[in-house]
Amino acid sequence: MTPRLVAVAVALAALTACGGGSAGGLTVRDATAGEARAGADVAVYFQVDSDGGDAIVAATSPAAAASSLHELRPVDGGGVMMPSDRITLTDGTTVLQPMGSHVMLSRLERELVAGDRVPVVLEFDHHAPLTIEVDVVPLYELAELVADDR
Amino acid sequence: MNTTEDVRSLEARLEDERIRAETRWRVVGIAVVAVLVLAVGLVVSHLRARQDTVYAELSGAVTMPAAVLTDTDGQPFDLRAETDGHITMMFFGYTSCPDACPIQMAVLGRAFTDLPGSVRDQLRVVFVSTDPARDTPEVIRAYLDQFDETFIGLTGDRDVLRDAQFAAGVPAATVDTPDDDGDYLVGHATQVLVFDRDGVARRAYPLGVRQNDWVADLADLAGDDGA
Repeated sequence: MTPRLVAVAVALAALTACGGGSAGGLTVRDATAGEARAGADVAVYFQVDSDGGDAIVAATSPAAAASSLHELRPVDGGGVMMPSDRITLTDGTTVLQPMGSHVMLSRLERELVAGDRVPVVLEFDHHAPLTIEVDVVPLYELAELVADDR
Repeated sequence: MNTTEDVRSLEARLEDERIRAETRWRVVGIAVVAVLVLAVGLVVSHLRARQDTVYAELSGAVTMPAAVLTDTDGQPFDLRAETDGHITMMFFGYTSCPDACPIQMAVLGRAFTDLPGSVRDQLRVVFVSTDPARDTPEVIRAYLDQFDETFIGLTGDRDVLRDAQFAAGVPAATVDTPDDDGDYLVGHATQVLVFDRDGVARRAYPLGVRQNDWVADLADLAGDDGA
């Protein structure tokens, strides 16, 4: 293939990547959120493959009035989700899943129903900002994200 | 003589027929044994699969808390009296919860749509709020209706709710500091407690249990063999 064809193929692969996004040295996979009503808050989960590690320092989405980062902090008898200014990405794969760190979209502008795709822009310490497409699924399917880990 | 010949050939034919019949029965016998072996194998593998439980057995039996809470009609709800004789799934959570609560409720709601009415009638799902400041009866009703309109929502005084959590053997919810928008998160237990008809909980289902496992276990608990 000519370099140009390769570039087109890579661009196409990036465009068709399901529920995620990718930019040099960093890939976001399986971006998922549960169904939610307009005005509600919804957590976004995904996996990040990072070459050398990084940190998510901000998230924005046209689908929500506000977005924030949440991190699980251990407390007596369990954990509590706390707003955080960053989500650390380790060298390799970082999994954001229910009862762990996640991106929180607050006060949704519209209802999210299964099959919808929601764009979210992630900002990093080092990498350039990345737009990911989040797949909306029925809430009960989110149990799978935890179950797969058990 | 012809007659002798006929008799001999008749005997030979009978012998042939006997051998054929024997072979037939042997084939049928082998088939029956094969089916039996297959059936036993399936039953064993089914039992094995079911032994791989998705729930945690509680180390000590937990008795239904003796508490009177408030239901989503604003009426008093006596936990023991109202759940007596039913299999009760109890969950402590709050309606603004970002992950564990909606997932557990959604999985149960989904399981309920797959269960026959005869099983559902024996079950009670009880959602007890750990955030009475925000979770009014109306808010809880609207929240639960997303999952199943038969789910029971309860709230009450903070102290009564805390005592109920202690009595149920779950760590009491903690509340963090509100942010600029007044939003705050509540730490709480994420498992669903299952109380048997005698009002004693012996199992806890952690976050991550799938609807299919719920359907199988609830049908079992309700004594429904799937027929």
